[in-house]
Amino acid sequence: MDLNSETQLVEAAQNGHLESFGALYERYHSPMVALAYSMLADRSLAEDAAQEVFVIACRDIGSLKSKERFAAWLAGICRNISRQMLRAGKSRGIAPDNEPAVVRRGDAEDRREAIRRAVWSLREPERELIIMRYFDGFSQGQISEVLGLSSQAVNGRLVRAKRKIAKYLKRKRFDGK
Amino acid sequence: MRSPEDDKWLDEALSEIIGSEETRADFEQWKQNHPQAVEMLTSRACGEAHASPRLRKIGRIIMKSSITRAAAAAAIAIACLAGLFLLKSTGSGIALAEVLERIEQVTAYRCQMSAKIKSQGMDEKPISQATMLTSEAFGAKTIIEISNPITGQSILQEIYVLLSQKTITTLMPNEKKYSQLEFDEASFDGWREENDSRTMIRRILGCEHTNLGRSTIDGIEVEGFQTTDPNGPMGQAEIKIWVDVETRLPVQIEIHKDAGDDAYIHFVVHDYQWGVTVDATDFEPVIPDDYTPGQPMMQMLRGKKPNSQ
Repeated sequence: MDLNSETQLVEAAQNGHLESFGALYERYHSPMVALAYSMLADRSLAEDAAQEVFVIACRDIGSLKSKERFAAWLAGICRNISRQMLRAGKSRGIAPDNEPAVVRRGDAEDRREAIRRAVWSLREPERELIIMRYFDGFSQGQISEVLGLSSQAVNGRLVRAKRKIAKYLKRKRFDGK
Repeated sequence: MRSPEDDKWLDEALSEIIGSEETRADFEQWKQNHPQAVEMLTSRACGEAHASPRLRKIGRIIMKSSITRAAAAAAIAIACLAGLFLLKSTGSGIALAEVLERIEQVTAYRCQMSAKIKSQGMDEKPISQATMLTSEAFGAKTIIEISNPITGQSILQEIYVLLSQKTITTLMPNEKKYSQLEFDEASFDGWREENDSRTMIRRILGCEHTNLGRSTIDGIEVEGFQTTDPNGPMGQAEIKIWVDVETRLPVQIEIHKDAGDDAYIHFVVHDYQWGVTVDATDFEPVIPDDYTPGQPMMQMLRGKKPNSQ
């Protein structure tokens, strides 16, 4: 990603240039939906959260001092909005693992449900990474930019998170076979 | 267990289950749905184009561009704000006392820190960014990236404080080095006190502080407090704390240390996540086999090396 051009877009948006803000919207809408989804576990609510993120970004972009950290700043807004939605009870999230919520619907469905639970049993930072990676196939660079992590850290955490999911599935007697 | 990298089936399953039906970013639609937001943005074109005044006067060099000194400055911010949980409240203020009380109920939190520097002949530049995880029970973990403001070269450090062992372990991935230091009881307790977020708030409580009123940070309604603390770890510095009016927990803390003649260093601790779930393994460093012993950069990490028994 051309960071300079992004910095220029942010600066132009700070000066009221709507098209530049639009370009940033196009670039980060999907990552914000993914990030919100990792917290809310509901695609429709995640879309709503992403819409709201850009309303707040529109209002507060003038206060952003580190233009090069626009993506991480946006992610911070997204997390806050999602938390507010969770506090307001707009999402029930994924049922805790101890709830007898799995209805036997055949192997494929059970496995899907088990994987969903495995993902949502991860701690927030790991879940964010997994969702970002698989939601829309974001590159490591994009993930690293949005989550404010080095590529090394993204890679390491992804491996650890996947290992935890595999372990969880093994415990629940699901694997790739 | 097989490596997850080899588990193609897991990749496929995750893509299938998490993968979106392609979210569409429709800015035109968004504009129609949010005319007020659009109005707010476009009104900046005439109203706030000059909102970022250039600092004209060249200041004296704060740190002579030494990456070690920049690191030390970053360490001070961590020392102020990364926080371990230790102190009991004796604060007598009103709102901030309430904040302190709320913080004392939290057993673990995560936050991020960024620092910028401005010195002679140089525009404001970032010098460090850190993610910090702190637990009352286990200790603290900090991942910090420190940049040389002149060369732009940066290094990464992972710092683990283990309360049970009174040790600080630093991993230096760039150099494939690590250091482990241990503290005696007294110096570790002193270090903990200086590294407690509540120390900062207690100091503000002990100073005159002004209410900055309400504002919004990242979508959260906040109330701000400001003071200059002559006895703080950074000497006289302007400190602002922004508190969530709903939860009464800090959302952002800013420290501005003026060095005269427009030279300054500015720290922001933000993106607090209070009451996160942690376990002991979060704070246990894993030293890769190919790392060799080295010297930590941060001044705050002075101590003695563990006895090799």
